[in-house]
Amino acid sequence: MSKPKLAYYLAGGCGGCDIAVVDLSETLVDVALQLDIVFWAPTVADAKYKDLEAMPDGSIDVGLVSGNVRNSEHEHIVKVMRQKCKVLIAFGICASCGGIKGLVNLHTTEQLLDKAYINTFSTDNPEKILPQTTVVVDGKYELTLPSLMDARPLDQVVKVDYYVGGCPPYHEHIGKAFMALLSGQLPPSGSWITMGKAVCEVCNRNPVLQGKSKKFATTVKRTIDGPPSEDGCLLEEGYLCLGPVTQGDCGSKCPSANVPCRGCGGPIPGVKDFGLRAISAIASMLDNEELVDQIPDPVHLFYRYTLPSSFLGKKIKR
Amino acid sequence: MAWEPRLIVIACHWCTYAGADLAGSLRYSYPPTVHIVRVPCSGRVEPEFIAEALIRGADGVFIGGCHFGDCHYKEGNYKAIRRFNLFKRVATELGVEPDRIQLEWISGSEGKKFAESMTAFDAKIRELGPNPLKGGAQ
Amino acid sequence: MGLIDIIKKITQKGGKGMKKIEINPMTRLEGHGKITIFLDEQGNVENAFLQVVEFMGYEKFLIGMPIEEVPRTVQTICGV
Repeated sequence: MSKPKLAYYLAGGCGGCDIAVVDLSETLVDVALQLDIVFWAPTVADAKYKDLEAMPDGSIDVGLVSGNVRNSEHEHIVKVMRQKCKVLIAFGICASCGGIKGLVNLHTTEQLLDKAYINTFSTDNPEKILPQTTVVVDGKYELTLPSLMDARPLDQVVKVDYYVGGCPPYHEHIGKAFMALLSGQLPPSGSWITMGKAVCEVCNRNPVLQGKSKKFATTVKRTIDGPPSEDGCLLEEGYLCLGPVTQGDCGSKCPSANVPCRGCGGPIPGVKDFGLRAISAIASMLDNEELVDQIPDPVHLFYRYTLPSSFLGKKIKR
Repeated sequence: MAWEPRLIVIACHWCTYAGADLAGSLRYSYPPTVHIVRVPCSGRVEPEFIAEALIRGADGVFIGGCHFGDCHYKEGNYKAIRRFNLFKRVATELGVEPDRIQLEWISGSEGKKFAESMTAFDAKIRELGPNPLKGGAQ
Repeated sequence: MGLIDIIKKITQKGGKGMKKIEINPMTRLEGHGKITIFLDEQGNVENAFLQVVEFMGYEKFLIGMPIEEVPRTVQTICGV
């Protein structure tokens, strides 16, 4: 039997998911030996988009896409990936829910370009030149760029078979996911590859796991207000931790390092809108109503990783 | 056909729904644009319900619960107001008109208040016009 | 296959009879880059351009975020 073929495409991401795959270390050797990597661009393999387009439809067994869909090039290649791959996996939170880069949906493209290319303290651009989709240099060299659009998770562009959360996915979890893929023990199509437990369920700080009961938060604290206690629940102490609603495949790495969870693992399966569920969970943990108004910058907090996949999807511009 | 608002009222079974009942038996009139959804407690109202109602075409969402101290489940309405206030903050920052969502405490004996609140809410939504969110943000 | 054949295979007509080689994407790095090389009639390189295809917009959406959250947010500018 020939080896299963794997393709990996990094769309509007940062390459962190690729590095997380490399973090598999020795396991990667075992996994890579069982796979035939036909396309891994732009990070690892020396493959071009034309090579991918030339492959026969449905010839690749597993396709991974990390990063959200942000411009016309991403959209095109993601559609090509869908044609060529039998199973397409949204790998990492950007592809699954939009990711941090999905926060661009809070602004219009004009606002973003204006800030990045014209209106910053360190920018010197008196002619106010902005990126163009086509430009002709010296009257004869025609150059093209893809056009920008709102950030979208993968499943708003093509059908996605599986989702893997995490920013980046935790390497042990990737190992398990790869092993499940290779052995064919996969959940039904359209579901998340996860153990299905929340961060709180695997967190050492969880008072319920220590046999105590959970208390309400009486203050709202920021991490700059001082370090939390050694083993107490961060939420009880007032550090807004999104552990209750986030997938815990990471093994609760952030709370164990005194850092509150920000929800990169993605929603527990069955939740449609991560941010709204987080609002619900955090609000019901607060001791009094005044604390609600003390939460700094709630949109960036609750929708840090999931804005494009939310009900609203973006800020409404009037 | 002229535009008529569609208002979703999520009413708690023990107070606001009973209040709506009383408004009916006392023959107070309130606008026919109101569609009541009964829930066991205002604490059952997830922010997702409000957002989904708005996306699916409701022009306004009104949540009715018991007064503080009256909750059949002791603290459901305390949770409701925290969730609602936080949701309203986030939704406002995302560009939803804050007046499209409202939370009020209406007890089982306040049939008149229910009818008055509905009339006022209907008038407010008519002023705001159709919901731009219908079918997702543009 | 000789070098000439490879060049023949990958080149395409650019504007005004020029030949154009597009290297898309640049590989073995993070971030999307694109190189466009223009060849003259004789097949020599006349001009070459490097374009960075990605635009993110961190400059704008970081505004208003609490300062302690910024380091863990901007680490996704590049994850390598």
